[in-house]
Amino acid sequence: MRVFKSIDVAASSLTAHRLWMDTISQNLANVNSSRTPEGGPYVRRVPVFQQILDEIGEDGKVKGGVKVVEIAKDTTTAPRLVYQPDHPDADQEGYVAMPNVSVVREMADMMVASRAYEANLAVTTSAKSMWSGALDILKG
Amino acid sequence: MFDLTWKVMEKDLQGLAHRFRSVGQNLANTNTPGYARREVSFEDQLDDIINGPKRLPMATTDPKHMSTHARSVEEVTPREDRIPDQLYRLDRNNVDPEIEMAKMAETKMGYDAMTQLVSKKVSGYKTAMGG
Repeated sequence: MRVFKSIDVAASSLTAHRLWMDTISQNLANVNSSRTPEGGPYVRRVPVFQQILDEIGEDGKVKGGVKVVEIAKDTTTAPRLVYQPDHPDADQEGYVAMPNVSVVREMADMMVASRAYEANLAVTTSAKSMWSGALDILKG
Repeated sequence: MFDLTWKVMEKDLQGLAHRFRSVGQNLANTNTPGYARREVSFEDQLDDIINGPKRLPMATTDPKHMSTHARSVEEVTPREDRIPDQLYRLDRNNVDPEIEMAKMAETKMGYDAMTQLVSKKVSGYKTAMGG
């Protein structure tokens, strides 16, 4: 029943890439949030993808595909400093620390995520039609 | 009635379904850093049995020795290999979506053709039985 399992594999990737898409929209929504409950500007989030090995799970099914192990904060890039002395969050020199979200980068990531999502949808569609082909064998 | 063709068809369907799953696995991991793509091979083993081996099989001098060649269609098992070939991405992932999509279409067509062939064979038997 490997055709069935490939639907599970594709589904795991659909979930992972939709989560990435959610993360991107979270980043874009907060592109100008200079204040967060933890203090400081919003920090860009990135999902960390990890392969699921072909192993037998607790339910006895063979697992495979991909999963998001964590949504990490991107601390490698510094916050954007914008000169805006009248802003309540401005420092003594008049600079406001803005989130390290780059709109261009998020847009590019969005394309990658949506293309991967489409590819996995195509896998699901093919698997479905292969499965119905196998079921039609006995119709003769 | 259950001749070699049946067995070959069964193995072919099994192998193609395995390859389809591997392609799905590769596509699922297009964005996983460090992932090495998978490849499934089984046609060479089937070909060896139908047309005779291309290479001489290694001699076995003890019944416990494992054969390097499948000796019958039943022994053919699809082999899945991890291919750490040429890298073209900085995150050490070597999945090429174009290649995988092409391979997926090819596998699907092969599988469809094979199910139709099995179907035709079944309908042949039905005719012979007068059903």
